[in-house]
Amino acid sequence: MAIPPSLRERRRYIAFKVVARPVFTPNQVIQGIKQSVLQFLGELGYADANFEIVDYDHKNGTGIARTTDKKKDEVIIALTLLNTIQGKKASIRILGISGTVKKAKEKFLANKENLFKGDNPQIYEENRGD
Amino acid sequence: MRYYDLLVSGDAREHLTSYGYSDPGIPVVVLEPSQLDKAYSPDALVFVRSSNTLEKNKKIVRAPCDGIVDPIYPRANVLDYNALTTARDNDITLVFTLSRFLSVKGIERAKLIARARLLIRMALKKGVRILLASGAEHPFDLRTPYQLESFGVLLGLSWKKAEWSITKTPEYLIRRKSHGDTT
Repeated sequence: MAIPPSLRERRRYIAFKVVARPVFTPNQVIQGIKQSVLQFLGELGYADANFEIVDYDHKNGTGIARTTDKKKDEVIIALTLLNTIQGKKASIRILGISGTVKKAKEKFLANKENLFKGDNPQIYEENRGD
Repeated sequence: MRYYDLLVSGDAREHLTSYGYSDPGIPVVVLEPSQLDKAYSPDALVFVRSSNTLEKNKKIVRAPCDGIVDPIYPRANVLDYNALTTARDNDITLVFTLSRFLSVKGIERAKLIARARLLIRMALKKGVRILLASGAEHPFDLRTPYQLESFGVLLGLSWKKAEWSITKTPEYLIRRKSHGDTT
């Protein structure tokens, strides 16, 4: 059944980067992010946000998450408050928000120089002793 | 526009500018509540960690320091209207760090958020300055300026005031310490 445009929820796509040591599998990262959002928003909030990870590139640690326009601020806070995945230190860095997946990829994920501007790739090596 | 994350220490300091923050150019010292006699320094910004009792915090807001860090505890109100009035009169800033919320989870985090919201509402009414910081000691605890602003919105600030708390308020503190300029 087609939903009329007036009732359709407005979606927002959040480009993010996972800052962590390369010890996780892609599935662990995705599940860790979902668990963190679920823990912060609760079941009802998670349902309202309609949160989903649309795309995840494990090699670069980047991805795109989908949420609704009304709940995007809360989802961003939930991602900000993530500091562990499977008990190991990790964090999520929000690169930007867009209304479409295509624009999100073009603006925030395409330029690899900007991608690593804020993250020293050596961060993975420096903290190996933790 | 310059963003400042004033309470960063350890390994995280090396990555600070690459996350989009400016170098404050002035050292920042964090003292414990028992070190109030060292609460003044002509060259450095001095912040004092909050105590878990109202009486000790009343002494902190009367001390010649620049700010009080994380005046929130899940089980008690540690600042009241009178203390906030004193803080405003002595030009003391309330500092909220993200790391305080990262170190707890679940119900305790929810209680902390509730306490922080109430305190910020009271502080805004009294006109006390508010500063947001990550309080990172480790590079994984650093967050971008946008994430700090959204953290401020979570605590009850408007987007504009959350932006000021990481731009104008730190600039004011740095300028006041460097030049004594309070305009």
